[in-house]
Amino acid sequence: MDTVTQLQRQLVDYTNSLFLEGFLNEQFNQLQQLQDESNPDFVVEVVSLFFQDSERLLNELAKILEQKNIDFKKVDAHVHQLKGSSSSIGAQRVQRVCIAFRNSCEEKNIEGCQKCLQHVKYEYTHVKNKLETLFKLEQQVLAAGGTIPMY
Amino acid sequence: MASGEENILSDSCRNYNAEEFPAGLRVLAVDDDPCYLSVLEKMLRDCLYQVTTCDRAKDALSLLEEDKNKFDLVISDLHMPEMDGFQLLEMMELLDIDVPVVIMSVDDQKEVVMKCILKGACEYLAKPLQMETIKFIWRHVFRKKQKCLKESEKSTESVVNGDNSQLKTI
Repeated sequence: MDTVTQLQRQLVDYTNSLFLEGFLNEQFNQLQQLQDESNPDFVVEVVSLFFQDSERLLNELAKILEQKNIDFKKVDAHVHQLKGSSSSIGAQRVQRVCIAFRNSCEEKNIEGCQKCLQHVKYEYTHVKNKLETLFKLEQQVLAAGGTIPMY
Repeated sequence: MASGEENILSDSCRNYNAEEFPAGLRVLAVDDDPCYLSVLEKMLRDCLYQVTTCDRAKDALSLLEEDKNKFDLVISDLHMPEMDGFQLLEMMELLDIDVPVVIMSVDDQKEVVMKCILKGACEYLAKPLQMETIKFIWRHVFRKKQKCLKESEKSTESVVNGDNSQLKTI
């Protein structure tokens, strides 16, 4: 098997594993389908926006939850935003923790919120690493002269 | 259609190229999530719609106030800081901006959906939107154009039939 085919196989297997393990869902496929010749970096651009937005929201959440009097409305608003942006790229696990997080907000459960924050940070970091690896593999395929296979 | 009849049709019924429709549909997309806004914009452009984006409802409202005939459809997120989708609908009604509005949200609670429809949204869609859904969004514009046409025909008829009750006395 030549290098390009090998790299392509690696990429396809890795991508499939992300879906199987629930890191990504169908929405990520939609993003890939939107990528075309006129927008060749569409997926990377949108995912970068997700990274930026998420990091901002996670920092804000950490600050708010450190306060003596927690503004649960603010927490809920930020978690809602995070749920929205994670759903726009198909980051399923992050999206799911956001649902639990909003429940804790509704109950005004401080400990619950803090646990959810830790959990969502963990899932975010996890999916970020996975996506960065995915993009690296894509770059390797392109560098070897291959094309990204359609999934 | 005779040119005389064409003149009677109101401007709001004729602000798109009927032959190309729905290509060229002028959509105003509003969402405070930059991530989703870029996905939505791409999807709308892929449908050959002309897209203007806003990340704040206030900015969208300014554009609509400036010239409501500039847009065929508004597609807006519901939960946004400062001014949300509900308030946008309310303001549009107050200012008599009768452009069809599609509301979208990750929120899928029944009460929320009902509230949107009661406030005048013509459609409520769950985020993230599927391409299949976006492709047919033009039907709301078409429905409104048809309604517009019918209303214009009615008032034309009443003038032609000598019903002067609609005419203002000078």
